[in-house]
Amino acid sequence: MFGEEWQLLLFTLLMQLAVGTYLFLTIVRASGKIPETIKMKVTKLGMASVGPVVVIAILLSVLHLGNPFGAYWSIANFASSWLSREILFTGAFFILWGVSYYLERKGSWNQLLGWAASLVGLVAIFSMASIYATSIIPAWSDFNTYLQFFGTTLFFGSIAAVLLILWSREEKTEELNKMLKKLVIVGIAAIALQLVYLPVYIAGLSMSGVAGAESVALLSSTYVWPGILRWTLTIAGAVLVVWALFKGRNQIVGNYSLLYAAVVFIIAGEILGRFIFYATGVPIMIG
Amino acid sequence: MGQKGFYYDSTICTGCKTCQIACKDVNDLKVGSNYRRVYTVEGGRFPEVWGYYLSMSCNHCEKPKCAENCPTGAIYKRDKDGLVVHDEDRCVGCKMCLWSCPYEGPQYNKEEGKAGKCDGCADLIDEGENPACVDACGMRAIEFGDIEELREKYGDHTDLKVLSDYNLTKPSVTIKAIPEASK
Repeated sequence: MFGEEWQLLLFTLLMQLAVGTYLFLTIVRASGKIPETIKMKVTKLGMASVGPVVVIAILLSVLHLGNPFGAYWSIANFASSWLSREILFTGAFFILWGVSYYLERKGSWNQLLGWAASLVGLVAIFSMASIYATSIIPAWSDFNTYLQFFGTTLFFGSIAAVLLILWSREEKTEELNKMLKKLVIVGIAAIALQLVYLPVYIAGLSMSGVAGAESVALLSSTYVWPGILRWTLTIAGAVLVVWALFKGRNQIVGNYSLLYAAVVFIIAGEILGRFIFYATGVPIMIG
Repeated sequence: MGQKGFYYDSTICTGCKTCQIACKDVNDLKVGSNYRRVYTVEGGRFPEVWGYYLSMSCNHCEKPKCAENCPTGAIYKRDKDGLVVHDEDRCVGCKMCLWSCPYEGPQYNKEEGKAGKCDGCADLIDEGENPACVDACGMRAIEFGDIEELREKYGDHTDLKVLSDYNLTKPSVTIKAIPEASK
């Protein structure tokens, strides 16, 4: 029913990518084991790319409005509207990224600011999930929405951070490689939680009334194969990432082609997953 | 101040949709957009069949999710009578209200890129008149007034099977319907 909301679909995915990437790069920079110069250099490209991704995401979200020129009004109802809160925290995340990136360029990266920006980004994702969770669409007003949004944030974030770090020209130390492996494990665990919760989600939804039952009917008929494909892609992507990082020749980073294939699978899986999320959202109506 | 709302007597409603048309006229609505709608509900198994009409507009809920979730504050509750009204100038067309109402109240106008909804004919109310749908009904099946008074007079019924749980938004409406309609 909301398959036409493609701008929102991309907005949510891009914001989750941006926040997740920023968070993981900040974690890498916090590591005491990796030498200062190396950890700053390897994360430089990643940190630079977060802002542009947020800009694209915000432009897409404004495009979704019927009256984009009134967009400045949309933070007015901060007191009760999660949409207002999401817009405010998204803007705040962008500003904090801007300040932290400016400081980094001047050679004085501030770790505390990095943590603050990460936290604000996570609050933006929480607000984003809450928009859906407070709707009258039972398939969205469930814990599953939080799992899905934070799952994508950590999954995308870890994979993007690893890829962006590997792209940097600096020599990768043993500690850095260990760190990357840990990040990927966290990302995969976050997405796996969603799969574990899936039966609970479906069971709860089927008990939640007519609209919820209709969502279950969609999930178990029209969207069975897309659903299976989504998880096949995600699992294949995760397995390939693990394979590339843990089994690759030349310590860890030898197998870039494997990693690229994994990224394609992971992106396709998440887009499909988010599409199913929108498409199976059936609102409570009269009747 | 008191909360205004509607009483609707489904048992005398003939399903003529004059209320829907009067609403469409007073709000100058396009094809496909109806701030008040008449639903037909049927059920049972032959020979024990039943059916009834249900005329619904915005229910001017005590806890309106549309106003709560609206990011701009374009939808808000009037202090003096609790009517849930919509300020078109502030609306940015994000459709958040459409995702928030279990009664299909707010509707999206593609041409204007904005939402719109029943405001209980607030302009007419301020002049001491009735909403257009109330006066147009040939059966006098719709009444508008203080919801507490209406509930005292006609009983408190919102537990229809086809409606969402009362506590979700606490609609200011009370409906007289055939027994089969109840939960």
